[in-house]
Amino acid sequence: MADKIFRVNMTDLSTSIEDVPADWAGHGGRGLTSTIVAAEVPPTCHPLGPNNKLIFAPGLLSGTTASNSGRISCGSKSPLTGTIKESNSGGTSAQRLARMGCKALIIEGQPQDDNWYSLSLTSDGITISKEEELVGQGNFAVVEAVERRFTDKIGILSIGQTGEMQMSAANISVKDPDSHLRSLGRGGLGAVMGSKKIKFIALDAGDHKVDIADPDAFKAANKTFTKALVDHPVSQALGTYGTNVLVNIINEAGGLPTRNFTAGQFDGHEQISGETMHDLIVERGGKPKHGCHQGCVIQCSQIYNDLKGNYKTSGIEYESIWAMGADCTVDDLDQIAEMDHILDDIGIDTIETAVAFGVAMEGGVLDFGDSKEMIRIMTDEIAKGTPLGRIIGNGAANVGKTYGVTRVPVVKNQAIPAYDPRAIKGIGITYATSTQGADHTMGYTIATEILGVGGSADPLSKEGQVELSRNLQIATAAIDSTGMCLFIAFAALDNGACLPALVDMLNARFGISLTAADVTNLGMSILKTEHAFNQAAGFTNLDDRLPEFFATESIPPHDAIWDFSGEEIDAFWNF
Amino acid sequence: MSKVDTPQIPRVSLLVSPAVLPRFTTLLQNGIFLEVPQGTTICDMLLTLPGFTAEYIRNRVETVFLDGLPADNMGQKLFGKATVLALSAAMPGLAGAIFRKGGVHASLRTESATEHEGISTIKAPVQIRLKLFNIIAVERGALLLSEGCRFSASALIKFLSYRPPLLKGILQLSVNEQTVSPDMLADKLPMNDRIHLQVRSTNERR
Repeated sequence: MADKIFRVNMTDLSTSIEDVPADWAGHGGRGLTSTIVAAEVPPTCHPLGPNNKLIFAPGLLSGTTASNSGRISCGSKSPLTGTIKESNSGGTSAQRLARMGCKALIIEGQPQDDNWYSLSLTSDGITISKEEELVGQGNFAVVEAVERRFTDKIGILSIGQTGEMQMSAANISVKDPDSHLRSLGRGGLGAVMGSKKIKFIALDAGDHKVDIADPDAFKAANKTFTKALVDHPVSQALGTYGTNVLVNIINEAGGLPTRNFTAGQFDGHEQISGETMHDLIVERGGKPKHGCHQGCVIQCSQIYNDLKGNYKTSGIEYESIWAMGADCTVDDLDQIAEMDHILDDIGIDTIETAVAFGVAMEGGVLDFGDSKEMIRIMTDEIAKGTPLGRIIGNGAANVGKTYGVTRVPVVKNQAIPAYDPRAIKGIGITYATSTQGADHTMGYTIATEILGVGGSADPLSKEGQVELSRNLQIATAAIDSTGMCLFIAFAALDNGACLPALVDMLNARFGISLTAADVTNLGMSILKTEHAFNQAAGFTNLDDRLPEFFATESIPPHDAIWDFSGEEIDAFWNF
Repeated sequence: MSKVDTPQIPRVSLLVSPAVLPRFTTLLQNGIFLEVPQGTTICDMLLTLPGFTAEYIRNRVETVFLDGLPADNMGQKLFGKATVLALSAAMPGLAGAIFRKGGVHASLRTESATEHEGISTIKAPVQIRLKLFNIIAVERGALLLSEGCRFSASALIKFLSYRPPLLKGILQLSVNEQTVSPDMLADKLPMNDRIHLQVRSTNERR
């Protein structure tokens, strides 16, 4: 079954299934969503208007048996940043789309009436239906109802109330194998789905499987690849503590932004650490180790139960715990888990929203550490779309403007996540130069020398640091196109067989002969495509800057400041 | 072993079930307190601890912070009045790679731990607060707890306050060999002071 492009026009409620253009054939995941956005979305369009498009694409290896290949990418012009945007997530949707032969789902236009709709996709086509029952409902209720309506085998993409209200921080939920939620979290893509008046998308792949050109070669490469993942010590730490294992480490380094980025260490870090969370999960009968998608061998997710042993949330990440915890000075994991559940249900990015709360706390809207008031605002204000709820739900920069706060940790309007760039400067370069606003996943720790993108400058010089960040972003863009979880990167750093095995799987899947250099070129091409879109949308090098306070306010305990000049940062795009 | 068990500090002894003992290793994230002669290397200091072999330090301890700065050289000497050393396994994320001992992305750090320069005039031993995180605490913590270490009394009280099930999991508790109800522990200990804490499971009761 040849892959196809599935297209939905919400203006005239028409659908089509099209052949894949030759220029798009070698792309998947982020590479494909960004290529389509660049080709079909006017850069200056309003992100919530009819000319913007919402694109979903499984990775090149999604739907296969390749370990950790179940990431789905979603792309659009972001209502939060105004830039091109790609967000990716685990869950079951990537595998469903790939197995039904959908290389990408493109949603365009906008209904002319006030009706809400749902989409249902199978390998045979797309059905658009009016939706009334689930409008105004949270994501957990949507997943439960849609599974009743279809079957629990389907994949589901949905938005909560904040997506319906088109808040800039709204996300898109992705059903996971346990019928809980993962998120296409950053950049307000839920608002774009809301602007298209689509409440949910049901994905039924039936019994279809993905074609493999050379099954034996694929199996052999996957065996090597999987062994590299399973054997790596980071996989062990992730499987035991999840990403929240980082709280103690980043706090020790003085890089855990605390109290709206005014300190680098949080007194309550032990109460919210991965070690403490692990123990609470075990004591309450939860699962410290859990996969967000079928075929994950690292299993960094977890199931967190409440004090009574009932399910509360799953897949709670370090960055979310940091944002609701240290940044807002909340030192109670149960309160953080409760907030995580609420934000998942109403469908809004935990990082953006919690950083917005931190700015609001500095602005005097509520007290630092007042988690009860945070929960009240989430349920009574954001979920209901009151003026205060909309102020916070439209992101940290919006809160700063509304309340006259100048310490606003954003780049291109997107909240800076859990690593203070003064204490960890290499990450600051990525925040500044990312095509998508501040994002810790844009320049991941890829074995650049294996992909042939190693640098030539002195690695300890600022020039060398910028060069390394560039190379990491190039390599990350390529990995984001495969459908692979970025956590494969750790094995790739230490095991020379890992990345070649990944390239071998791509070749065996499609019957092609890619080299590592081809993969690198793919990453470069993606970055350049995204950068060109942003420039056409009106962004310049002056947008590649961290907020002023990082250069003027030192952060304890090391009293570090951000000291890269604009000229040094601008060298990032010299390639 | 470089721990100094001065007779003045309270000796707290806990007996717990084998299933509960691993949960107590999380207390090590706050740190144990040791002292070593000026100029002792990180590696030599760790080798005095139960379960820490040269191979374990080389292969398992992959992230090290000295006074909050990432350290690469386990032969680095310890000087000064007091210092904080934190040990972890390999960590995820770009930050994890940046901080990793001898990591390929170490050039993206803001600052690294450097060797003390000049001559130390301090004669007294270096006071070390040693924090053990994640896998390191799990793998080596039970042995350390079983042998007994110096902890912060306030850290123990705080730890038990947000982990009530652990308080209930204590089968026997004594302070200076006097049996104490776990609920009364906070009243028996000097806050902001050191204690010698030993935690054993019923499997190893002697």
